[in-house]
Order: sequence, then C-alpha cells, then structure tokens
Amino acid sequence: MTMKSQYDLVIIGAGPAGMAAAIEASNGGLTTLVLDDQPAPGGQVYRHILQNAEKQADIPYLGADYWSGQDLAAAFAASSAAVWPESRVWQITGDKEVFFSRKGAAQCVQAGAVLIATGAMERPMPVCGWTLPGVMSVGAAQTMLKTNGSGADGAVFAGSGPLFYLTIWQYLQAGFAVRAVIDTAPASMTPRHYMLALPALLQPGLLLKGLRWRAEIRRKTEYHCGVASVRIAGDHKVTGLSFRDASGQDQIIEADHLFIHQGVVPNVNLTMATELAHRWCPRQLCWHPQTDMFGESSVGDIFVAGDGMGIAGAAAAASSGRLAAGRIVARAKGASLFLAPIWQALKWRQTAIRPFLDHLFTPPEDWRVPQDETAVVCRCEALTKADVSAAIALGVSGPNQLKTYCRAGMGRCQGRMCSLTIQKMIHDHNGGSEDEIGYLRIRPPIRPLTVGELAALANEDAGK
Amino acid sequence: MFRQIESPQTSITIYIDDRPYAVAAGDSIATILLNEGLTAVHAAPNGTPRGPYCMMGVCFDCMIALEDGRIEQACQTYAEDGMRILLPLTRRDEAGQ
Repeated sequence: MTMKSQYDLVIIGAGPAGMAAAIEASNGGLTTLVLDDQPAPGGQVYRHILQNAEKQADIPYLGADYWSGQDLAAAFAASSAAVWPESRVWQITGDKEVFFSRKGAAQCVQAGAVLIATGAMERPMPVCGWTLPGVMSVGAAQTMLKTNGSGADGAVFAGSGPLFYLTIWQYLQAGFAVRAVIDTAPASMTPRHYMLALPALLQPGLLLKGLRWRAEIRRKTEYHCGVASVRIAGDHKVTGLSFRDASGQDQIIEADHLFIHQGVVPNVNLTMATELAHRWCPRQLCWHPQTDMFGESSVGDIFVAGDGMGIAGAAAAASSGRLAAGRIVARAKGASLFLAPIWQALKWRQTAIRPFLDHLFTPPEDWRVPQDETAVVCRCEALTKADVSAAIALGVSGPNQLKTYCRAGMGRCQGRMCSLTIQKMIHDHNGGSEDEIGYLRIRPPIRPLTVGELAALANEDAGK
Repeated sequence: MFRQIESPQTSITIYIDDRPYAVAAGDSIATILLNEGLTAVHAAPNGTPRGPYCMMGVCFDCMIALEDGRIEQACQTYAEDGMRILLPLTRRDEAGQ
C-alpha cells in the first residue's frame, strides 16, 4: 500500500476561477492544493501579473482590466492554499486521484473534491496558410506582450472578438506599429443584435470600452471589414495576406507576422477525459460540461468553474470559483451557504453582456471550415480539408470514427486544434444533431507522457 | 520580428543548436526563439516547417528537443542557465532529408 498526499480540495488551474476558489476554500478550513500549468498564478487573462505588478508604472499599455486581477492574485498568494506551479495534470480518476507531471516526473495526489478550472483556449481558425511559421494566434501575441513586453512591428491582425480588439488596442498603446486589421465581424448590426444589446446595458462600461477600442483601431490602422477569400501567403514562413476587400478589389498586404483570432471556447480536454457529461452550446458553438448551479459535474465531487464551463469572462469566472468552493466547504464542514445567492446574482450580472457578444462575434461559416480544399484542418497530422472530406465521404458517424480512417485528431494536440472543425464538417455532410456527432473521445493522459516520467510514479510507490 | 520594449535583464546563457544566447532567466524558450527571429522550430509529418502558434500549451507546434532527449513544448519550458536546446527542424536539415 502506498500513501498518497491527500487534500480536501485539489484545484486545477490558477486563473481567476481557481484563485478565487482557493481563497474561499482555504478560508473555509479545507486543505487545498492548486496545480497550475504556468510558472506563476493568473491564468491566461492575468498572466505574469505578480511579476508585472513590481513595475506597473512602466507598463500602462495592458489596461485597467488586466490590473484588476492584481488584488485577486495577491490574496491568492497570501492564502494558505498550497500551490504547485508547472504541474501538468493528465488524468483525474472517478475516485478523485489526480495524476500530473512536474519537472519531468509523474506524481499523484488524492483529493476529497476536485475543481477543474482550466479555462478557455482560442477557437481554431483554419484558414489557408495558418500553419506557416510567423502566423500565431492573437492570444499568443498578447502573451508575448504580458510576459515579456515583446511585440512585432508591422504585424497584421485578422479575425474578431473581444480579445482581438483588446490586443490590437494594447499593441497600439505599447507603441507597436500595426500594419493592418482585417475585421471579420459583421460590418453593421441587425435588429437582433440591438435586442440582445438591451441586457448588455447592465454592463455599460464594457459596451463603451468595446466601442472605444474599435473606434480607435479604425482611426489608427489600415482597417478592412467585409472581406472575402482570405489566404495567408508564404512558402517556409508567412510573407503576407491576400484577400478581396469590401469593394471587390483583390489586395495583398505583406507581413512577417500575422495574428489570427476567432473567439475563445472552453478547453475541454480534461473535463472530457474525466468523462464528465457535456452538452453542445448552440449559442457559443462549443461544448460545455453539464453542471448544477454550483458547478458540480455529472460525477459527484468533481466541479468545474470559470471559462471551462462556458465562456463568461474573468469576473464571472471568479464568482463561479467562489460558488463552487462555497459548496464544497459547506458539504465538508456542514456550514451554511448563505453567500451563494449573492455570488449567483453577481455572476448573472457579470454575464449580462454575453448573449450580445456571442451573437455579434459568432464565427462565420467561412472561418469554422476553410473554403480552400488545400487548407490544413488537422495541424499535427498535416491533413487538409480535402483529406478530411474524402474520409467523411466514406461514411462516418462522428470525429472518433473519422480518426480511425485518416488520423485526424490523433496527433500531439489530441484534437484541441481540429476537433471543432472536423465535427462541423461531419455535421455539414451528415446533418443530425451536434450532440449525436459528438467530440473526439478524449482519453487520459491528456498530454504526451514519456515512460521516464511515468517511471517516477513507480519509483515513488516502491520507495514507500 | 519581435522586439522587446525594454532591453531584457540577460543574466544567463542558453544554447540553441550549440550557439550561445544571453537571455533572461525564466523566459519561455518559445519567447526567446521568437525574440531571436527563429519562428520555424520543427517539422510536421509532411515536412512543412512549424513554429510557436498558441503560446499557452495547446497547439503542440513549438516542439523542441532538450539535451537529455526529452521532447518538450518550447512555450512550456523555461530558460535555465546552461540549458541546451536542439531545434528538430535544424536536425532534419542537417540530415539532408
């Protein structure tokens, strides 16, 4: 028999949801462990915040929303929760054993309850040439700015969504030259947009901020919207972008760096591999784990919080982390849940703008499935749209069967970069419901593991 | 090419394909590669070059080899003094493939 480390609560991820939950749970008297991918807390939204805080005056360009995470990160650092950075969780069992690797060695801890707060990732934007070196996601450009104060002068941005405008705005504030902006959002709003904008008036600050960013970007950059036939040019690396502009003119813009973005989706690989029930969200066009109002999943004592349960933003993520931790503390200690309605109401108010944003920035069909047959769909296996279409034409019921036909989704990223595209292609061909077609079946380990890493686990067992 | 707003506090040396680079401790290897203009890092199964794309560990397109043989994501690996990194793309080119 081996003795594993035990914690009342193991939280995976130290973004706003994970940090808020850790503070709540440790204040409530639970032994709490936070396992985080990154070397420092903050998640992607508040990445590098504690290190940046030391020189805040020198980096005004990240904006007030970024700095609003400072108090949360400081409270988290001061809490009694144990934090193990650079810990990559690759399996959670139904018995709530959490397996992870740290510095090349696998480990396991036993949890009373688990909170998965692994956040969001950018939706794949499979456009012709998106695998060329020099093409990166807009989130990647922002990460370079946050962690390193690095930017690329003369870059082109193509896409849409809140993070798209925010990052371009940050680039301009930081003094980087933006070569051009290709905005793929609709150029004008429909009556339905205006209707959905009504609840968004509960968050007037957010609406105004978005309008201000967009106005400033239009004023300060070469701005195109209503474009078609976008292709990224280059042989061994990106050299530019060609497209047909709104007036029907073919244009080519040269650039060494191109940043693309089509919104964010829950990063579901861990929740899927843990076999939690998921549901297709037609409004956000992605999968959401099914949970109750506290974030408890279909598997008892395994909770989900933050953008990993549906895209709602950083403020709502913190509220959902508090709700889940409050529930877990109440169950463990027999305490009351008197604060829950307040967090619920706060979360509701923090998400008032979401239906509007989801509708305004719904990725257009052209960006969900490439228009060009030669565009790569599965990056890891270098499979094009034509390759995947040929396999679908043989008759497949879902992404999992397709994988056995052509290896799409079988590479290192385990479907993160292609599964939504493939699912959409199968749906376009077969019809039926998205829930029936489903996602790839994700199995642990959710990241590549070496035998050497695993051996550390065996040695640990033998040594005890 | 990427540039840093403030010149970095370079305190350590790492080796990329045996060439020394003065870098800041704790920067991700992907960040260092991009700041050095090295956007192509490894090759996809069809031989096309790939480089850092997501910078958050989900795309697996910034794979590098470490001296001990481990294959890691450059965006999830952080610089330590004396670290030796091999770019799979360069090794392939040297092998004449």
